[in-house]
Amino acid sequence: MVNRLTEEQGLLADSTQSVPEEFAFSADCVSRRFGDIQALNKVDFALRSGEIHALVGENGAGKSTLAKIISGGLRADTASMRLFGQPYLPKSRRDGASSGVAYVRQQLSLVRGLTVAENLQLGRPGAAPIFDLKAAVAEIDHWCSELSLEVPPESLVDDLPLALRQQAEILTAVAWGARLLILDEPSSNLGPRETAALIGFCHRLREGGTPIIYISHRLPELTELADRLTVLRQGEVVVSGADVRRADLHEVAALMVGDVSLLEVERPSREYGETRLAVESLTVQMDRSVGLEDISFQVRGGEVVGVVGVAGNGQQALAETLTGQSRSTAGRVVVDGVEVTGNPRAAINAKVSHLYEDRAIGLATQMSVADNVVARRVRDNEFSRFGIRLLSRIRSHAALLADRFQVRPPDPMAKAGSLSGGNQQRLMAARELENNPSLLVAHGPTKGLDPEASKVMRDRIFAVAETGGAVVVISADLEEIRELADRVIVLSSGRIADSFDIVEMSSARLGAAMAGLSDNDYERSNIQ
Amino acid sequence: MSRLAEATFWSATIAGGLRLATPLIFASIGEAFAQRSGVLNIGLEGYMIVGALASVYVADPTLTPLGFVAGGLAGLLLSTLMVLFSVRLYANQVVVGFGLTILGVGITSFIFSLTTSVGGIDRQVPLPKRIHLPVLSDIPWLGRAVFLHSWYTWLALALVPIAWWVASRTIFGLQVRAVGEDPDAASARGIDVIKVRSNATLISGLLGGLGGAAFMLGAVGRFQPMITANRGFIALIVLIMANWKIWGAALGAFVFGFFEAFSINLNNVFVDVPTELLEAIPFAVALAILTLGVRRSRMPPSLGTNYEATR
Amino acid sequence: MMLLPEQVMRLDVWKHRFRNVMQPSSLALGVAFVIGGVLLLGFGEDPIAAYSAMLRGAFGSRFAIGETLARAAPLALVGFGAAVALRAGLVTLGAQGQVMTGAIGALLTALMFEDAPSAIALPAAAIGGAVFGMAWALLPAVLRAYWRVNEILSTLLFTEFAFLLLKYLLNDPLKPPRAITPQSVEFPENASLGLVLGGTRFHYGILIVPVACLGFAWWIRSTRGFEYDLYGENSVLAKGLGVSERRVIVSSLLISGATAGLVGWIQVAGLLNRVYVQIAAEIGFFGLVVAFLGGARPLGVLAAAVLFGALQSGGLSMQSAEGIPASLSDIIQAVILLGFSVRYAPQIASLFDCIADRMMPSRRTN
Repeated sequence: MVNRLTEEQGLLADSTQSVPEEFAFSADCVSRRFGDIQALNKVDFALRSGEIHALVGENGAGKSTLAKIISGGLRADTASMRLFGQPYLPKSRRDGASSGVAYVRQQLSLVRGLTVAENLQLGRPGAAPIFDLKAAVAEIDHWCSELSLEVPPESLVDDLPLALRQQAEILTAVAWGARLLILDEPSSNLGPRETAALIGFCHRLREGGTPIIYISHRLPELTELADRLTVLRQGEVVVSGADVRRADLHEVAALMVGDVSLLEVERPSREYGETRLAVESLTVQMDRSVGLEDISFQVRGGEVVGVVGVAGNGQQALAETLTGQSRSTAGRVVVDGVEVTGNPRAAINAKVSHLYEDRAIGLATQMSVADNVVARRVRDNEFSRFGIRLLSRIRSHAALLADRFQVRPPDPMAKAGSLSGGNQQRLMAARELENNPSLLVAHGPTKGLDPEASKVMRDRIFAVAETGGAVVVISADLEEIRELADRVIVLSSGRIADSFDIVEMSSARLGAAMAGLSDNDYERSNIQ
Repeated sequence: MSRLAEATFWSATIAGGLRLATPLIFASIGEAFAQRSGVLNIGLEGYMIVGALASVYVADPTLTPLGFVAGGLAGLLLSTLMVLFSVRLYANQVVVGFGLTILGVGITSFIFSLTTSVGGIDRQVPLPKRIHLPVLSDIPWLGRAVFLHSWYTWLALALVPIAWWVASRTIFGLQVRAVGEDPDAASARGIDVIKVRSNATLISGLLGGLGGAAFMLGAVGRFQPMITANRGFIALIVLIMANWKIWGAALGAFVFGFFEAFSINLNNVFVDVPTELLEAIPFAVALAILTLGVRRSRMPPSLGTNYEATR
Repeated sequence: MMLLPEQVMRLDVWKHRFRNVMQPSSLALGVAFVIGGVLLLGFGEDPIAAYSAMLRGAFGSRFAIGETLARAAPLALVGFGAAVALRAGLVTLGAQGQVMTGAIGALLTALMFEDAPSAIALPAAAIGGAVFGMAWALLPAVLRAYWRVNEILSTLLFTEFAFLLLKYLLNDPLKPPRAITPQSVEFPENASLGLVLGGTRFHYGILIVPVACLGFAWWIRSTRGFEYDLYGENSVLAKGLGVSERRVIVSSLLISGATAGLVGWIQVAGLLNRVYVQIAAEIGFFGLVVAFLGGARPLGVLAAAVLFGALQSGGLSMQSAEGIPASLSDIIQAVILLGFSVRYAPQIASLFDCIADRMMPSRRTN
């Protein structure tokens, strides 16, 4: 079986050499809409045979959408695609896979409780009902030697470090006959040494004849890694197929971010109060996402700090630690002089409010609106006496809050899960913003809200600052940050890449920080 | 006390242990498949008892193999309800399992009561002969212990390597394990989680029924209501001891069988140590394994949770 | 007439309750009896005679009602405890064992207070039962809270331990000198629960049930109960709001242990007056079933317990009156349980929503 496969691929390699295709893949005019949002707008993209092409952009640029369309997981609204010289219109990921397109995402698709060899055969099209362990091991060893890897075939995937897991996943894709690889943010959880190994791996794949679309928002590694690069911003191509070696990365970074000048936004001058939030040398390790490395910053009363960065650079860790939900490996979080690290109760008592990024977690969807709205304050004297909840008071207060925060329908007894997304967001806001928080951590606060509702939400967030609270807004929406923030902190790989006043924000500076280009600015990040 | 020093005591105990372990081996191997795919099958007791009844119904002294098969089919039939309610309609697995156990016990008691009074199925199936193997059965001590058993026991022992092979060397086995470990990832790889779980549950029904049949035809011979006396639950515990592995399940079943035989034989002889203490040992072992092994536990992460198929 | 906002809210409350509970449930009941009837016909028996005998056996006389209540009470009590745990997201199979240890505890305590006045001995025995039941739940609770050991499996094991312990005690230390079968010494008179209705088995222990029901309702109303419910519903959010996970787990399981222990007490002190191997019958498992059927709510659990108590006592009575095996009522109980188990299935729920909307249009949210 192993021999047959390599033979086949050898044949294919031959055929591509005898009829050279300049482009392994090309797409014309790819568009895709999701509801109100135009995720991709007439995007042209071409991947040359034998090249590594970087696809670059910030949050919401459309990189993943394009990748899904190429791999067959998503249908484009309009597109004309060609793969290896033939018209290409995959109906599913299986279709794409059988045409040779493999899409390796951040959450790897290997089953962690099985070995690498077992994962090789799991779900493999055309696999025989009998699992030949020896053959699978031999196949993995073969690919390891071809690609200079060291993936132990009989180890459980769970026991392997992340870098090896990734290698195993890519190896599996290649073994299954992938002739075009799409790697989505593969370096996001890797350290420098592992990233170097990844780059070497990609080069070997390229030499072996497999072109790669390498999706990333981290520019520094691209000079070594890629041949050409394409920049997407908000669904449109901004830079198409530029030669990486000749590109000015700072200019690319600025283009990724777009125009963020502040000329139009009014910023009434405000008095700031005492320091209400102090983050001191915070280091956090997270299980499944990027943690934080030695973060320090302060926020005063009345100040709004916007935390930006491409999703997955430590935002979740930050949100969880600021609200006391996660413990730190080192360092601490202090609110109004009280340490709240790893102590949710202390955070609640210190009036820290948290607008969760994920509504499914931020609300109890099976419980009523009333129960949700009062959940923070259920022990207050207003709502319970001698340990018993005063249901009618809770209900009427809930009706009041629902009205004030425009939760529709304002029915305290409705199940929270039956509300629309926007109303759920407002419900969560009603719970968290009711009582003059000392610190508000708003993570993606206007997600799922229409523009009008977004404006109302932003006004409420601003109101928290006006009453003297400290506000940290973690958002992927640069518009939002522009409107709300007084200061900006850029997170990259769990560190503060840069930090500046809102008036100092420029495309170049912001883009560079988000793309990881300003790591040497790290020393400057221990500010204020 | 001196009895314990006698070799015949131990060989008889081991032999008894293997014999008592036989139904447990069938049931726990079947349950292993179900649980590895993430289905917590509390209804195993139900499969066993309907298997026991069906086997006696169909079996004639000359037709015991047919009875055996009938038992398996009865268990299989009952397990289709588990598939329907829990796997496909997402009902709580524990509740459905209880329902099936109660249903199994109830239906078998019901049928038994009504047919006995009519002179129907009150039959006593003679216990099977022990197969005498040419050289092996005559080995002085080992022969009696290990090589002189009925074909049910031999079948059970043969099942173990076969089941192991299916679990680790077939794609189906890989799928079962993948679904139990991470149903979302398995689904992303194109595996039909619902179908795999259904098949695994049906296997546990079939083997559970065979276990009940083996118990009836191989050891007891005559049906009484609730005769299986919680052996189905014991099979669940065996699986805990086995850390969800096939060979471990066989070993665990033997441990239970051994201690049961031990306490029975001991009772005939010597009454200082309470038999209950001896009977408790296998459970204590299971608890220890459950507790201490938490980090190395191979309990399928999705055990007991339902997977809702999304398009 | 314009309804005041409070009145509208109240109507909505009941409307919500009705929609949530009624429809698939009654269907399950109906189907169960139909299946039972079919089975009976298949074996040549008369369903009408059978069911009327069952009904008489459950409610037809003072004695019958006493029987039904005597059977329903333990189910309800275990059900309340199991429901508290269910609401916190925990499934405990430990009630069976905790009833046994509770019975032992009550007996031992009563024996300790053998010479004390009833006013002391009676509550002492009750406390003894509850404490022993709680103690049996302690280890699985701690294992779950601190080491994340699956509580379904650990409580199952502990039930087996309890059974072996009971067997041992009833065969040796607690056995009366001349008894042949395993049993305990007689439960002291001064701690016994008398009968409420002479000529029945309606004992005073049964009166605990309404108290426990109110207690359960109070629990749900309380802030602590609310936090536990929140944890069961969304543990991440609950923890984020400061709820202590370990406390929730341990307390819920201890509460369920205590109620099961109390059941052990009333079975010995009120019903049987001795501890037998079968003291727990199938109460532990059926109690969990009843908790589930009742939607983990006070009135629901109570209703389910009465239903199953009636089915069980009716079944036995039917057997002696008409000769139809009591196992028929087990079959009916099983079918009811299975029918209920799927009431939240999306396929079934959408089916019922369609029907319900036609029967009773409600205000749709957005």
